[in-house]
Amino acid sequence: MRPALFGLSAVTLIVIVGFPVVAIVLFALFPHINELSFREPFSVLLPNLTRPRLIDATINSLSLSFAVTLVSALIAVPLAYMRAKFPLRFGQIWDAGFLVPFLIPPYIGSLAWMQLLQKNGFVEQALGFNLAGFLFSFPGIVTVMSLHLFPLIYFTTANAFAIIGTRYGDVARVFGGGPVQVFIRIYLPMVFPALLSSCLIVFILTIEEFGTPEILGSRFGYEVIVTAIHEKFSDWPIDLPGASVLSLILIVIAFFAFQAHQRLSDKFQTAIESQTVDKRGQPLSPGYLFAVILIFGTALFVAVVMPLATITISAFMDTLSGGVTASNLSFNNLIGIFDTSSEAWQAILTSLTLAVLAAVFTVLIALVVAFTVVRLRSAATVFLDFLSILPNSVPGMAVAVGLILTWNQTIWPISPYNTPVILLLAYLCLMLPYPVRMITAALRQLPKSLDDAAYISGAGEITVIWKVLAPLLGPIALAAGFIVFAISTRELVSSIMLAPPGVETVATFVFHQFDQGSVNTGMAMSLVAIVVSGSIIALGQRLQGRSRTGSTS
Amino acid sequence: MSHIQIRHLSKSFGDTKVLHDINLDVESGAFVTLLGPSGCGKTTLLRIVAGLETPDEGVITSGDQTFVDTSNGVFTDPQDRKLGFVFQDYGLWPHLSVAGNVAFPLKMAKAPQSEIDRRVREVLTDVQLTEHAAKLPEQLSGGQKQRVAIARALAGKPSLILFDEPLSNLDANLREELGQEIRLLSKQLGLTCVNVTHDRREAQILSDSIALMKDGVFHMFGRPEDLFRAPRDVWSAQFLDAGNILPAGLVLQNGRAANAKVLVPRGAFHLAEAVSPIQAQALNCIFIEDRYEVTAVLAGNIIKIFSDRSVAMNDTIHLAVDEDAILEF
Repeated sequence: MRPALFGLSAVTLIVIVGFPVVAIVLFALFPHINELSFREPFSVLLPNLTRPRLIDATINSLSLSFAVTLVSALIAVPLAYMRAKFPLRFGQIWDAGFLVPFLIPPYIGSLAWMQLLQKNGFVEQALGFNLAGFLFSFPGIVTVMSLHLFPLIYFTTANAFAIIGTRYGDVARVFGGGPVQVFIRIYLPMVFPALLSSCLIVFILTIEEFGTPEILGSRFGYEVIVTAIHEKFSDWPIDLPGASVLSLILIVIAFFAFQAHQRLSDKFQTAIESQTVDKRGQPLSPGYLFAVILIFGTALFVAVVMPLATITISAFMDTLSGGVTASNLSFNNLIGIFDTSSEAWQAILTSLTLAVLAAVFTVLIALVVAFTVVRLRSAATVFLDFLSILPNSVPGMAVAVGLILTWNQTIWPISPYNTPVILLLAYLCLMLPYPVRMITAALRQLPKSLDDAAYISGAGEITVIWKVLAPLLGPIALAAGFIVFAISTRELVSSIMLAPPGVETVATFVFHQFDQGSVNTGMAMSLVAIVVSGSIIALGQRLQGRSRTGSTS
Repeated sequence: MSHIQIRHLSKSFGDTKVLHDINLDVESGAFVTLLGPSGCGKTTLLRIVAGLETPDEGVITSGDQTFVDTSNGVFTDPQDRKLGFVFQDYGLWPHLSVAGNVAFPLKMAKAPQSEIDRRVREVLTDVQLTEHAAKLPEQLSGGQKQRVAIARALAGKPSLILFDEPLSNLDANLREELGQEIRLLSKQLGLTCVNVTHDRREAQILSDSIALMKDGVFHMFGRPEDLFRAPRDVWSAQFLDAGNILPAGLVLQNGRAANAKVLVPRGAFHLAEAVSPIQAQALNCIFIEDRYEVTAVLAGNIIKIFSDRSVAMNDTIHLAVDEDAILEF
């Protein structure tokens, strides 16, 4: 049974993760590999690497990612430092608020900002001026993306501040440090690994983001790697080797950023001796408290309330030009979505089906992979482990390109390309790291004697997985499934690239509605998506929290 | 008749050889303990017998069944060896009730439900847990959990039961009590048992014979009393805590190199009635069980002796020694 399980894990991971990545590398190096020929190696790579458009796109991607990371950190770190000084209960209210940007898919957020700031947008309707010039500029994109991503740094850093606690700072105060010195010399260096590791995640998410640069950047000719790849597929003739070179650059950057992130987060965890969180907080003077509330309130209003309100109001507006008046507000858009004969309803059904399948399959694959990696240790383990976590550093656009390169070939007798199955393959690849990481971590907590006792009692590997481990890992597997489900329902980039003609998902539907000018229908759909995926994510988090507190003794 | 036969068994992990040419016979109905410090290979040997590890070389047979024979590639899966195994951390499945845990091996053997119910009741009676059948493991105390683990090991009527430090997670009183129970149960049911431990007391409580292991080989093998009365060398005497190890010159007048080590059992020292050439400085005196235990310094060596009267700290004590009881290495 063991060789069979190894084989199953290896084949599954190679097909889902290995194929697309290898395809990108091969096509970038050997442009005629689809004719099974190593002819003209590097003939595409080198010319492409010196092409000004590619260099510009790469520089744009890097500068955008650096800028977004920097601005996000500048917003997040002061908030996180103040948060650590709150009593827990009070701080949790703010935390809940800052979770909301996670629930708004970035492309919907960008569309909301456009609604607000563009010519005749909500701001102009209410206040008489617009900020279109700012929005459609480099600082504009940076601001919109930072407002969406800074909570990631905020949560990691606030948690790091909380773990470090006040005792190290107290010691410094006793030895004569002032508050500013203590912050700069004690707290900041101590949270630095955690801060940097979350910054790297923001960096990766920015460089692989498609929606925002496409929506805002295309208005002023700003091209990044991801949008350049998209362009290569929309302009005829399609430049597959060119797209593979761009994808390869994307993967390489993301891969090294992710490696650095892992190093740093491990380093932070081992550097701090005690990981207990001081839950009391500190007494704050009324003036200071007021200032803190003002700062948090502003951040929350700009990052959460404004885009969310825009989406909600737009969803209820009959016409864009009608403005925010009672006669222009109704449930028509929402009702239209739930009309079972509409395209919108079809898109919802497609997304739900794909998301459920992705959740079920990734969790099942993760169970088998986790078992093989954690319990049946062997030389192949390292390889399986690597493959299962690799998609973390493969941007969605690269997965899409890799799948096209893999399956759009004549060598396959049957191919998922041009069917909805290719979307499922993309989701499986992109989502696999979530359940693998969660289930692997949970399995490591279960003593090996539980398995051994079952083997001794006459069980085989399948029985051990199914009768012993699966029930114990059930809650965490369910939580992982919910998270995969929620993320799948909002996935944009691979869906846009891979959806066969006539098939829409929720994300592509929203995106296309804006292209066609049906902004309010798009916003209504966005609202539904946010509410559905938000409640599913919340449910998943709850389940995960419960399974962590429920002891495994 | 020997039930388990182990012949020429060897095992390496990478470059480290953990078992060297092990040979062992376990008689039917006997309780054998593999005793040794951590890293001596005892747990690996047990796991090889269970089939949870494979040896590099060697043969293990149980009755007329061959567990493993590397010369002709025979390997019986653990599930086909008809074993019971009692784990150090109990290894109880937290999602199954006590009865569910005990029934598992029977279900795997596809026994009919009526037979499963009867057998579960029977073994739970053996370990005195009938009233806890419906509870989950987390609702039990440590001793009760270990009883469940024992019941589970007994359920399938295995021909051999393996124990991996069954008492080490329990507190001292319970260890003694449950250890005696395990021994009685194994005798009543005629079980063949192999146990692994680093705790000499656990080995003494449970075993008919003990294999003392060191660096992957059997260093000594025999009845507990033989091992403790006549340890083979200084290392064995120290590991077994068999008595005081002293330079011969301190306690023996005649012959022998004065620096050679000898073992003086604690009972071989007595407080002398008169002045004696063997004098020690008392460090501590405590009353344990039914006598005093005196720790003292004898020419720079810490010794421990039994006495029926108390000694004041820092007193000089005069000692007589029963030379016949002294073991020379």
